[in-house]
Amino acid sequence: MADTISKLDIILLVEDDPDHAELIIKALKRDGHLLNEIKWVQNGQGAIDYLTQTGKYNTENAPRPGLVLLDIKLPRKNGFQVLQEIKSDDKLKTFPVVMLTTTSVSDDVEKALKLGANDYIVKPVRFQEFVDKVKGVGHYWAFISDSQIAKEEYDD
Amino acid sequence: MVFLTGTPIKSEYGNITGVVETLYDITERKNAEEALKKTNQSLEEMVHIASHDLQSPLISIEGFATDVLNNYKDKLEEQGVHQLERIKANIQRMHNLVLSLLDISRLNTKKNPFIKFSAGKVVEKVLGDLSLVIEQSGAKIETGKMPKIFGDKIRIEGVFRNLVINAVTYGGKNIEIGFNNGVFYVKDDGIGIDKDQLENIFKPGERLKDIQTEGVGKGSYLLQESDQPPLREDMG
Repeated sequence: MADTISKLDIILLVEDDPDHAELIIKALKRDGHLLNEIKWVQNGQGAIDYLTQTGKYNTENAPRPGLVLLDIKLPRKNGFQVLQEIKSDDKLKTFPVVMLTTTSVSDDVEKALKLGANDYIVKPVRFQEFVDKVKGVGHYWAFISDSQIAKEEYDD
Repeated sequence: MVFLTGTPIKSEYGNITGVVETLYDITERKNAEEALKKTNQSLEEMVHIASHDLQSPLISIEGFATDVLNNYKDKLEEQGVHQLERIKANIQRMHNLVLSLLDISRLNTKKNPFIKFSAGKVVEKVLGDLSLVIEQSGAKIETGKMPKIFGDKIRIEGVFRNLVINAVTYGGKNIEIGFNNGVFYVKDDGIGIDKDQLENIFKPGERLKDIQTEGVGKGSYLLQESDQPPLREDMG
């Protein structure tokens, strides 16, 4: 049976390396298990623009993502800067963010979790690990979907 | 910058009757310390950037090799499958080397605060991180009960990681990780270390001379630099 994580629609993938992006999308879409659409942006500012529907996404009425997969090393705002902006903005902080890292052994993971990342995945992304992490985050999303902020987001 | 010391002058009856103050000009020393600190920070930043930049293409190569093995294996001949598996194994070696270099650079530059943490959880994380290497080696690992400890969690994690990599690399098939009488241990049934080579294992870059294997030879160097308990002689 295909997995669609409850309340998760678009998955926003923020990754500048096209090879990594291809591998992640392939891993997630393997065997058609994950039905969620994946929106890929290649830099940090693009991620913020997409989430706030500004910049090149100004005219789009794209559905809000239910999850952000965020790489750390990015052009035009690195992952930490994007994470900080998301978590310090009342309208954005409810978006669950899972960091993409090259290793779990580094200060990057610690820094990301301190900045408010919900979790992290070490690249290359393995499908089952992704599902386990996202389902955990999915519960978080479902939990706060009754909150006032989430209600306002859905009503927009 | 000056450093002031005061030495009391005492009378024959032991009463303090005065003080001798000495001023030392430590400007040069302080400047040297600052310069060294900046150099170490720059070095750590460079290694951090290099490790990420080195790992990025490795991730791609491993990912595509895995993808081909998973999805096109039935279209490949045996030799093709074998070569892809060798590519993956070498990627993992390179990945471990990069992590090793990162560990060494941080050892000399970074002092992490001491915190209370679960040694068991650290070992669990290390085994998770090395799951692919362990799986490929066919080694079986048993872990015993571990205490909560107060220390540098990141360095301890580095030490455990290197001990496990060494145990797996040097042929250990049955590995035991535990804690006994105030000593953490990683036991394996690998090739062991000759007694006449014991003194060399703590030198960085040293590796058993007659064994062809990978690594920068820094596992035991990290142990020593991390002020770990002295090596026990029963490593055979």
